[in-house]
This record gives sequence, C-alpha cells and structure tokens, in this order.
Amino acid sequence: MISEKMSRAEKKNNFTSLSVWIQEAIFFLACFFYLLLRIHPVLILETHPPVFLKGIDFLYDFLKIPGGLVNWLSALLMQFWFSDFLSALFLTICFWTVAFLTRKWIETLIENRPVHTFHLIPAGLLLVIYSNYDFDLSATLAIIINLLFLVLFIRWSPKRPVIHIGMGLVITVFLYWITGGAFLMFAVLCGLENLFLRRKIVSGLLLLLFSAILPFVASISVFLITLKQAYLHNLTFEIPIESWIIAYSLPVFFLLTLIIVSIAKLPGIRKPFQKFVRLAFIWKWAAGTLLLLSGTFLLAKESTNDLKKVVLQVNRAVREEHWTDVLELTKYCSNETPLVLSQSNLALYQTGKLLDSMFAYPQSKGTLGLLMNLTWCAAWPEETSNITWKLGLVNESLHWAHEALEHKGSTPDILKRLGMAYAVKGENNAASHFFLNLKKVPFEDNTAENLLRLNENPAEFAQDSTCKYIQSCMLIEDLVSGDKMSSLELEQLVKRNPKNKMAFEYLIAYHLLNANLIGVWNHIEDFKALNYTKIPHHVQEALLVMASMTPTFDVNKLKEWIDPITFEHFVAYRKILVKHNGDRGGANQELQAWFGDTYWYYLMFVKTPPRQPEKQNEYQ
Amino acid sequence: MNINKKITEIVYLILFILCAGCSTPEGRPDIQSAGRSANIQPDYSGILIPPNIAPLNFSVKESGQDYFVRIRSTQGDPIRIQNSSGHIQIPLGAWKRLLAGNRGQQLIMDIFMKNQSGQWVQFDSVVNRIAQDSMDGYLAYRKFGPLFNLYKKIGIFQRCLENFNEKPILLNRLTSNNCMNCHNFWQNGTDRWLLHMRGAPGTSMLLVVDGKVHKIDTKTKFNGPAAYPAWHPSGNLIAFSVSKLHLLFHQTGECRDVLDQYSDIILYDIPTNTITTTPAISSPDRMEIWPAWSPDGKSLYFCSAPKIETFENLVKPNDVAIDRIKYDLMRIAYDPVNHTWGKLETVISSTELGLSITEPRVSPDGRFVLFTAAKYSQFPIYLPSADLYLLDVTSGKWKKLEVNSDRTDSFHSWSSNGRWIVFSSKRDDGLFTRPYFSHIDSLGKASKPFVLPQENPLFYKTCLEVYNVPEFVKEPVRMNPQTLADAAFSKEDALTAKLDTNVLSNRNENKSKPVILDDQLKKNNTINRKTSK
Repeated sequence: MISEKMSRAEKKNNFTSLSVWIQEAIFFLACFFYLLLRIHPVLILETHPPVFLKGIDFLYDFLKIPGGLVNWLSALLMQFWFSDFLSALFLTICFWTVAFLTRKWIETLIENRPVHTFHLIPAGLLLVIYSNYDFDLSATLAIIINLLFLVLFIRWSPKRPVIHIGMGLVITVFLYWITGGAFLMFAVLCGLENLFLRRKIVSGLLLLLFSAILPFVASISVFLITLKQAYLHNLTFEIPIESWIIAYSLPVFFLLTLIIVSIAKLPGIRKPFQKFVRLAFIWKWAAGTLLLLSGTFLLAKESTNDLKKVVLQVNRAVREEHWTDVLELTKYCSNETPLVLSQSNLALYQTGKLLDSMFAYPQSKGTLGLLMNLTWCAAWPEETSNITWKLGLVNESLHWAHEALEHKGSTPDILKRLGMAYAVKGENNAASHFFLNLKKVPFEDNTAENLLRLNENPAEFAQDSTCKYIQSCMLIEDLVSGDKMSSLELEQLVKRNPKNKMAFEYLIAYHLLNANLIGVWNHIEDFKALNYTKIPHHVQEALLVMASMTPTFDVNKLKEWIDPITFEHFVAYRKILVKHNGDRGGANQELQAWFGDTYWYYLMFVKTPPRQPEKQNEYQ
Repeated sequence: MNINKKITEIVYLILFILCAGCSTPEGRPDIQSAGRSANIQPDYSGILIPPNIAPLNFSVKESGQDYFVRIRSTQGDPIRIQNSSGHIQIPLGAWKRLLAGNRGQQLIMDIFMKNQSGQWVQFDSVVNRIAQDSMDGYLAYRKFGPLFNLYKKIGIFQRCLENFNEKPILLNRLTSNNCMNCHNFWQNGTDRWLLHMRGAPGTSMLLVVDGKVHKIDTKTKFNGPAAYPAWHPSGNLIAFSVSKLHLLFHQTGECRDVLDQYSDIILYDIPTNTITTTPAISSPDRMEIWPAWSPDGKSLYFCSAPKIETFENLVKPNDVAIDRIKYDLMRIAYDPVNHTWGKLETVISSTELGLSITEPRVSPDGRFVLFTAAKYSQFPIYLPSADLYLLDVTSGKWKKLEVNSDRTDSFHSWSSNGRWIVFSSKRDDGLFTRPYFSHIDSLGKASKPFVLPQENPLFYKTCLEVYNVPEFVKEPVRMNPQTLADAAFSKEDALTAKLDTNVLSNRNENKSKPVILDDQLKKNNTINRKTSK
C-alpha cells in the first residue's frame, strides 16, 4: 500500500517535473524564434558595440569600478555574436539560466515543491527589455551571478549561524565588486529571507543594513564613482529607458515573490492559499503557459521601437554593404530622418541608381538627406565618417571617426577607419597606434597584421587599390568647413579628381535636391567624360524643367541628352496639371500615382522648407 | 655510492646547462661589435637625466633572440637586465641608488644582443649624463582622447615622476561626464590651485585655498567664464583670459583649428571675490590672452592681437584670413601694493618674429620667458608649426629653443627650481601629445628632450590618449577626487564673483579709444630684441 502510494507520488512528481521542462521548452523555443525573427539581437551591437581588447591593461580598468568585471565579461561574450542566430541562441540560454535559477530559488523558499509558470516571469521581462536594444549583456549576467549565489547561499546551512552570517557578508562584498549595484538582489533577498522565512532577525537585519551602506562606503573610500553609479550600476533601471516600468518590474518581481511566499506561510493564510494550490495542476499549467506567452510577447511587441529598429537595421546593412537590403528597408520606411535618407542615398549610389531612381525613395529632407548637418553628424559620427571616406573627404572622415571613437570606443571598424585615414594621409606613426590596438581585438589579429605591414611598406601601400583611389580623391587644396558640408566640398572633390564618380553623382544629386538646375546644367558635359552611356533619368527630368522655365532656352540643345520617353512623360505630367487647372492639391493624388518617383513631383510636392518636429531624438 | 655520484654528476650537468643558457655576454671574448648604436624606443640616448626620475624603461628595437643591458656609472653596482623580449624594465631601487650616487656623472647603457645565428653582438654604448638639478616630483596633466568635438572620458591626473604611480585628481565620471581643464598651481605647490569645470555641474572654477575647495562662478556682466589662469606670486590674485572659441575644420593637413572670436584678460582677487580689469588688458579693439606674471609680481606678460573683425573679408566676403591673425607678446607694469597699472609695452611683435606668439611662461628666477610661436592664431596645439622660443629678459634676446621638432611643440611649464621644463609635443606621430622634459641651464641652453618614462616601454605605442597641459608640481594633490566632485555639485558653498564697479564704466569710456600702441609708442617701449643664431 505504502509502496503503491509512493510510486503514485513518484509518478506525479515525474509528471510535474516533465511538465515544467515542457513548459520551459515551449517558452524558450518561442523566445528564441521571437528574438531571431523579430528582434534580431545582433542589432544590439549597433547601439552597444562591445569594445573589448585582449590584455591585462584593458581588464585592469574594469576592476576599478564595482560591476566592471561583469561589463568586461559582457563585452567579451558579445564578441561571439557573429549572427542573429548565435546572438538569439546566446540570449535564450541566458534567459533560461535566469528562469532555472529563479525556479531553484522559489523551490527552496517553498520547501522544494514544484514550481511552474511563475519562475518564467523574469525571463519574460528580460525578453521585453531586450526588445528595445537599450541593454548589453551586463544586466543579465549580473542577475545570473547574483541568483546563482543566492540559490547556493540559502541552501547552505552551516552548524554555526555566525559562519552563515560571516559568509553572507563576504559574498555580498564579492558580488558588489563583480556585479555592482546588482548585488542588491543577492543581499536584499537573502536579508529578507532570513528575516521573514527563517526568522533570523539579527542576521537578516545585518545583511540588509550592510547592503544599504556598502555602496555608499565604497563610493567614498574605495572606488571613484558617483553615489548613483555605486547603487545602480548594472541594475535594469540604471539607464532611463522607454519601457521603464518593465525595468523596475524585474527586481520588484523577486521582492514580491518573497513577500507572497512569506505571507502564504502565515498560519491564517495557509488554508485558502492551499485551496488555490489544489486546483488541477494541468489547468494551472496550461493557463499559466498561455498567459505567460501571450503576456510576454504582447509586451515585447508593444515595447519595441520600430523606428529605432529600422535605423539599426539600415546601419547594419550599410556596415555589411548589403545595399539592396538597405534600399528595401528605406523605400517605404516611415522613419525619414536625415540619417536613414543619407544611408538610402549611399545605397542608391552603390547600386548605380542614385541619379536614376533617387526620387523613387524618400527625399523629404532635401540636401540634408544627402549630406547631414552638424547635429545629425554628431549623433551618427561613424556613419558620417563612412560616407565622407567613400567620397574622398579624408579629413572629414577622420574628424568623424575620432568623434565615433569618443562616442563608441575602440571598435574594430573605427580603429580600421582611423588607421587607414592616417595612413592615406602619410601619417604612418599615427596610423600604427590604431592598427596596434586593432591587433588586441579578438579575431582581428590577421587583419591588423596585414594593415600594419601595409602601413610599414610604402611600396605595398602604393599598390593597394583602395588606398590609391582614396589618395587620388583626397583634397589637396585647403577648405575650411562650417556647420554643414555643402556643394562646395563636392565641387572641390570633382575638381581634384574628375573621375571621382561618387563625388560627381553626389554633387548632381545635391543640385537636384536644392533645385539648382543651372548647377546641373553646368556639369552636363562631365557625364560624357565619366563614360555615362546616357544621361541619368532624373537629370533628364531636371533639364526638361529647366527648359520649360527658361523661355530663351534652345530646346534643341536637349535633344542629344533626353530620351523621347522622358519627353512623353513630361508632356503627360503637364497634361494632368492642366486638367486640374493648377489645383495642386487635386493634382497631387493623380501625379503621385503616376509620377511620384519623378524629379518633377519632388520639385512640386516634396521639396518644402524643412520643418523640425517639436521633439526629436536621433532615431526620429 | 655510485648512485649518489651519478646523481651529483647529473645535478652538476643540469646546473652547467642552465648556467650556460643564462650566461651574460659580459667578458666573452667572441662578442662582435655592431659598429653602431642600437635602436631603442623611447629614445633615451644623449640626454640629461634628472637624478630623481623614474627608471627610463625602453625597448631594444633590433631583431635578436636574447638581449642583455648593463647600466653603469662611476659609483655603485651596475644594473644588469637580460631577457628575450628586449623590453628593458629597470628595477626601481637599483636605479634610484645609481642615480643618487652619481649626480653630474655619466650614465652608460651597454646593450648586447644575441642575433639569430646565436652570436652575441655589442652595440655602441648609450651615454647619458645625470644632472645635478632635480626636478619637481610630480606632474599634473589632463588625459583624454584626441579632442575634436565630442568627449566622454576626461580626467586630470597626477603622476609621481620618481616612480610610475599615477592617480586621478578628478575624473569627469564623477561630475556627469563634463569637460574640465586649466588646472594650475600657485608656485608649483598644492596649497593653492584651481581648475575649471564646464557643463553639467555648472560652469565654474574649483579653487583650492589652503586645503579648502570653493566653487566660483567667474561669469560677470563683463566677462564669460574664466579660462587660462596665471597665479600672482602673492597667491591672492589670479589673472585669467576670457574668450569665445570657434572650432574650425580643415580639409587638408591637421583637421582642427581654433580661433577666438574675442578675448580679454581679467583679474580675480581671491580675498574679496572680485573680478577687475583695465582697458590696457581688455581693450575692445584687441584680443588679449595667455597671461603670465613675472616672479616679482610687478609685470604681467600676455599676448595680444587686433580684434577678429580686422581680419575679416580680406580673402573673400564672410571669410577670415586666419593665417594673418598673429599675436604680439606684451608686458604691462603692475603695482601689487596699490593695485595700479603702469606702462604697456610690446616685448616681441609678431611682425618682427613673423609668427604668432602664445603661452608665455616666466621662469621662477624671472630671467627667461618661454613661449610658443606658430604661423598664426592663439591656439598652437593644433598647429604643426608651433615651436618653443626662449626670451632672455635681461638681454632682450630670444631664440628658437633646441628642443623643437617638425611637429607641434607647445604648452610648457617650468619646474620650481627653474632648471627643467616640461612641454607637450606631438613629435612621435603628429597626433598624440606626450610630455617631454628638457634641462635649461643658466645660459638658456636646453638639453635633448625625452618623453615621460612609463613602466611598460611600449606604452605609448598603443596609448590612444593625449597628455594635455603638463604642469610641474612639487608635492602631490592630497585632496580626494570625491571632495572636489562634491564641491563641483555644491550649491551652498558656491560663490559668484563680484564685478569691480569701475570695469563697465571704464569699458564704456574706452570704447572709442583703442589701446593699440602706435608705432612711436612701440618704438619707445619695445625692449631690445635680436634673434640669436
């Protein structure tokens, strides 16, 4: 009888345990695919480029601040985020670890009774947090480390309580040093557990008091940090984010769990609580799974900033030179910031479509969408450096690469750009600083070696096609730049090297966007010199506008430049206008449907004086 | 018995092999002479070494499989270092003993290398000399990435020059990542010193007087926030320049450039918390900058150029002929007892020098004025043409100092005994400023400069930070960075400087009376100047 009962209980336990694992499998599989297909965690590298250099000197700086070690570890682990798949897998494993440790913690609190659903909430909240690309790995790693120590510590009961208290204090200090403010999770939960569940008032209060004082003491005596950094570093609410409630919910969850468990253990409460517990397990499991999945993914979807995501996707595609992806992302994109538009125009140039199709893509910011102004350049220095480098504005590229170095740190791309820019300028000693630092970046040794060799061998350097081309384009006559790059720089670039096709196309595009038709006309002969088989589509359209607006203009001059089909389209365009008797509003819809991708439509309906939205950030 | 004998033989054999492997090349008859000096980095050859400097660690940049360096002088045991990396890190204690016991003597470094074929080669010895004169024990500097527009990490640090310890005086991570600059010490001491804060905690000056820190807002109706400081020898008065900077970017050469849109010199009186000036140093028609007091406190040196509008539209409309903006070195007499001003004179005119003069610093004995001269403007750090010049005040002769390179050599500071200078130089790569030291003898002759030594001899190869505004300090700043940071945010202890009531009325009166010296006045007042060859 007893053995029958035992085997039934065993079976029940096995079933419960299996169902927990099944629930976790469903949840984390869903998490993985949500991360992989919707979030694309590799985009976090765009907002938090993991700066990591090999060597003790780099580590040493992290040891000087509490929580620095976790930041160092986060930067190291993120070096392996080569793809969406790997980064999604990595995050899923982290989330599962959090869930597993949370389950172990709750099981310990409730005397090893099985737990389901509830323990997955922190992992769900983390998924929501990561939907907005605001966090690197540090906060998650800090949670994992603290939970691990929490679970081990509350399961450990030495015979002498003083040893337990002493060890608790030592672990608290250790966790503070390696995880920063996130140590509060260990210290506060241990303290409260001692206080409410174990009824060890002295040790509980001691731990709570110690954890409250420790960051303060550390900040005034050991570490050079502010009080805010001392208490909040590596906590999910350290940085203000849009979904701040979620960031606060995570620590609150653990506090609430402890409070609920404590209350549930009170004699008066225990009975009604047990009634709830007695509900059929399978129903609770199913409802919990459903609720958790729907809640998590609904919250994650709601907290995702799609405008920001597009910007990050565009930047990543540009970095990887996936130009068609950039154009796909920007063609119907609602986020028409100067950055997105300038990246779109860069992709148009790279695919050979700039002067043929640029008005099929958003151009609402005019010339600002081609060459950004100071404010936008300062917000996106690395991207500015990239565009100016391709144009041949080496000093400008250098300038913005330095700004990016301050902004993002020593990422491989920035180090390469700075090294190359100095090498092209003949400043080889300056270049070697950046290449030697690149050598310290994981997986970049070979690239760095090659660049150092190139930098030290002028003959080899002179043979390198990229260097040779940039050197042939870089300005040799000085020009002092103001707040915004303009046609002046582009004119200089074309003058310096008439074969600099990008500078030439950007100059024509600049004139088109600025409605400077004379500027376009002045360069019409250059198309031949650059071996264009025919005049690009938008230039033809511009010439027609110019001819129609200048009564003295000899239309015959245009015949060799303009395709008959463009003539026909222009006539059709004008017919629609005539049909609407000059009613621009009325004509707009029809013209947009038929000629929305033409320069004529841009001139008439898109090119308006720029208006700044009231509140803007770098993603809007 | 036999076994014991065999073991003994094996032990001897092992010891013999080990000794042979580690043997130094000293005294070996088969050493070849390289017939040249070894390439060592940093270049610590032919220099005058301060007797209290930290070990001059260096790296032998020659291709070999083993390296041996012997450092010797007249007295004491030589220091011997052998390794396979060629990175020579000299033990601190032995180095100190060798230097202390041999002031005024030669310090010789014998460099040996085992080449790829296993042959020991000796290079020509590096011969340096140990100076009699010590230099101040500490160096304060600002450290950050090469600054363009954005900045994230800025810190003001102090480095003990007798070892490799570096400690922060203040880090901007304690003050909301703001900008901080212009640290300056009264008579190379730390009883009275200051630095400026910009941005987050409030643009202000942190002034430390006798161990107490005060936050002072130096803006008044007359002037913006104070900048380049100069302590009066009395310790109660500080001259500042106040200016509005404009950052420019060039498309060729060095990208960065800075122009002043206007600038004046003001005086801040510490006991009364008052700002004052006089039209001679804050003329509306001139841009005055870079004040420096003579050690007797009776003269104020500064630099001055016609106002910016003078240079506008010379090239084309709405443009500034920046390369024509040149500053003269001026001097004005001051009575520190009655606080009255005397004669204003041009010490060196930019027309005569053909260069723009900035950053004058008077030696502690008042004999020399060390200044920077560059092609144009008041901001030499971005100008490769910037070089150091020395004016002998007694003879009126000036000369280009022997320490210059073809890159920027600028911001400098005198040690308290007047025998050492430290200056910022970009000679290594044209980008990163590094502190270089040179000895100035009683005749104004400078020794070959050498870079601040670091524990890791390859440190500068990968260091992406610049050392900005190096200032000699006799003793360490003992104030805790947290105390300074607290003061930076403090509202209760913050003071707003008062403006001397005469300043605004003087300015209004002088608006129509430019203080530019006419040619006659220049002739009369300019001290005798010749270029030393």
